[in-house]
Amino acid sequence: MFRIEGAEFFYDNTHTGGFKEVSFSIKPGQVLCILGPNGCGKTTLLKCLAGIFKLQKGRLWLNDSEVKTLKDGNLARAIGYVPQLHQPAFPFSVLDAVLVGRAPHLGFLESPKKKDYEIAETAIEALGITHLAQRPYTEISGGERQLVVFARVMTQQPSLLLLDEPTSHLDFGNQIRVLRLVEELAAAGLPVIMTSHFPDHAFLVGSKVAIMKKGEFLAFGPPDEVITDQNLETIYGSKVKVMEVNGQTGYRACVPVKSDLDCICSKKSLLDKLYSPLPQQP
Amino acid sequence: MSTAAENQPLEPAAHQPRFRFKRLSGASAVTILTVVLVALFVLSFLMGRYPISIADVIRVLLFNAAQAIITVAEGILKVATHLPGDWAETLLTRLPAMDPSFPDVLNTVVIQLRLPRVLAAMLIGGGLAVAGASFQGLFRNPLVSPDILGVSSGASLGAIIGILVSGQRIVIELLAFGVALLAVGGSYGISRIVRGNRTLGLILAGMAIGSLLSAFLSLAKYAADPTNQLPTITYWLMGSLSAISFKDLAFVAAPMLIGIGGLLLIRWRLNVLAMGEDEAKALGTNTGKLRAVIVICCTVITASAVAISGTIGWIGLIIPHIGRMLVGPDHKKLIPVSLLIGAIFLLLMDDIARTMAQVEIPIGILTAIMGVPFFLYLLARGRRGWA
Repeated sequence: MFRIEGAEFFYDNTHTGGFKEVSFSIKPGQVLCILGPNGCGKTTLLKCLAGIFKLQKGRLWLNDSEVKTLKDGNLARAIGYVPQLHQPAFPFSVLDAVLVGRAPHLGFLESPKKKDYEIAETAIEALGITHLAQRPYTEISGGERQLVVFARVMTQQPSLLLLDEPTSHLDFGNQIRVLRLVEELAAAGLPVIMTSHFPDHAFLVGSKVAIMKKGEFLAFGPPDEVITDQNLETIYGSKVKVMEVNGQTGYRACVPVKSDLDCICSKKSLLDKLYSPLPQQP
Repeated sequence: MSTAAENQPLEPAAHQPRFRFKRLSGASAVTILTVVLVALFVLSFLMGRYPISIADVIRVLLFNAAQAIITVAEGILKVATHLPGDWAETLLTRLPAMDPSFPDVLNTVVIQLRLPRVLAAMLIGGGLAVAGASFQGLFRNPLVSPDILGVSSGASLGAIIGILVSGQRIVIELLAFGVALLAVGGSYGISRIVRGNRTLGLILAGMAIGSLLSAFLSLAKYAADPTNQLPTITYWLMGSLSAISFKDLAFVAAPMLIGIGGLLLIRWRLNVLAMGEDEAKALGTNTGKLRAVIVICCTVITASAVAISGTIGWIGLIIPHIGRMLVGPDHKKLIPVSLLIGAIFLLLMDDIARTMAQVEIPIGILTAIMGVPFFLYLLARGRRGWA
């Protein structure tokens, strides 16, 4: 059980980047999918929940204990955070990269012990990447690296999982696989909060959906109630139609609707000026 | 990137790069390097004008080691005589009296002349390599060297001021050490007022301070007396271990050993930090505290090294790469391995500096001349050890 009330954070006093008055709660096994345009504050919200930034207002509860009272190490032991995919600086082996997830369970001067290695190896095995364990994680594919990052966060053994756009930069098949993994982790009893740019993903895995714009939650609830044509147009500024797929009940998808009204270029003539067709070959 | 490949375990051979140095386990690398270091340590006493046989070197070293142990035991027993019982007195009378079976001149050459130099080479080489490896992890950049925060320019400026105002060795060393600490303190202070990326701020502040100090350095050279002060300054800037005595070693041994020990203790946390600032924080690591500990340890090591030996470049940059090629980027293995390779490398360079030519070659020049081609060779062969 995770609950947050009146959370607020801004990078500076112009109140542009950040969020305010965010309140919600989710239960173990539930996946909350946060949708919103670029720069709406989704990532900042996750970073605050992960303890990377300190909330300026509001309170958090995790399993009936208030998170403010948890020190850095305790917070990391309770909350696992998967940032957006990044390029690592050094070619650590997959095992070493996963082992880093034990950091919150170890003292400042401690190195991982046999037990920590066992936990990391279990996580690697659980995600089916044992064959990659000794490979440098700079040399594996983006999909494989995302599995490594998931193995790391499971090695952390958290009681809440935060995923920042876990499907970004992945191909279609890997997106589906990662979403299935998110579902499985939630089913194992972990509350999951994830951000996404794809409303379809919320239909696939979300038990709850939040719509975020300019740092505020506009709507919060089950996907079918929250993901509507109107809400999507409000946050993305583009016409979208939510449709039943193939008549099957319970599964929906979003389809962008083309219309002349939402042209990007303000003046067609300017575009013609910039784009001159290739000169004819003599 | 093919998805088909991800579903089934791949043939291991399919992913092996064309050529790679065989990675060693941490324990075997440390064992092999320790054996090499000990052998080189003994052999280094043979280098120099006065010819000594290897048997004499071992005899002198063992004699002095035994004498040191006896002296310590004597001291402990003398304190123990105050305890009840007369066992301490009995043991004291039984302590063997040591008589050297070799001429005094051997003792002077091995212990007084060559030992401080050999110890200094090992300590400085190992220290600079560990500092370099730690900074590369902290800044997540394999191109970083220990003087990134202006420590070398600071030490050089301090030393030159010392040469200009007094010329006494202890004054030069103290000023070099002090100004080096001030320079890094300045970089660190400035980086705290830079908004946003703290690591980038630190690098930029270090570059600014370094450039500023280099300008002062040129000014000091310009102001120096060209007949006697300028040659001293130039020679000092090239780096040398030739003048190092036990007094110099006593001055820097404690700070260097504490710095190296500190980095050895936190070495696994460097893996966490190398994942990225946000990830390290989300993994419950106090990144501010960790960064401060690393910067302090590296600065103390580098400032001490430069204070007694002048600027010896390249070690902090290339040794960690050689370490990574041997054992991979895991700092748990990389830091101790870098320590040993650095010690071996500088000891070897100093041996060459002493014997290659009639006149001693400044070691700072030698580390660059020998180090750069070796480094390029390793890069070309290892290919991916860099990444």
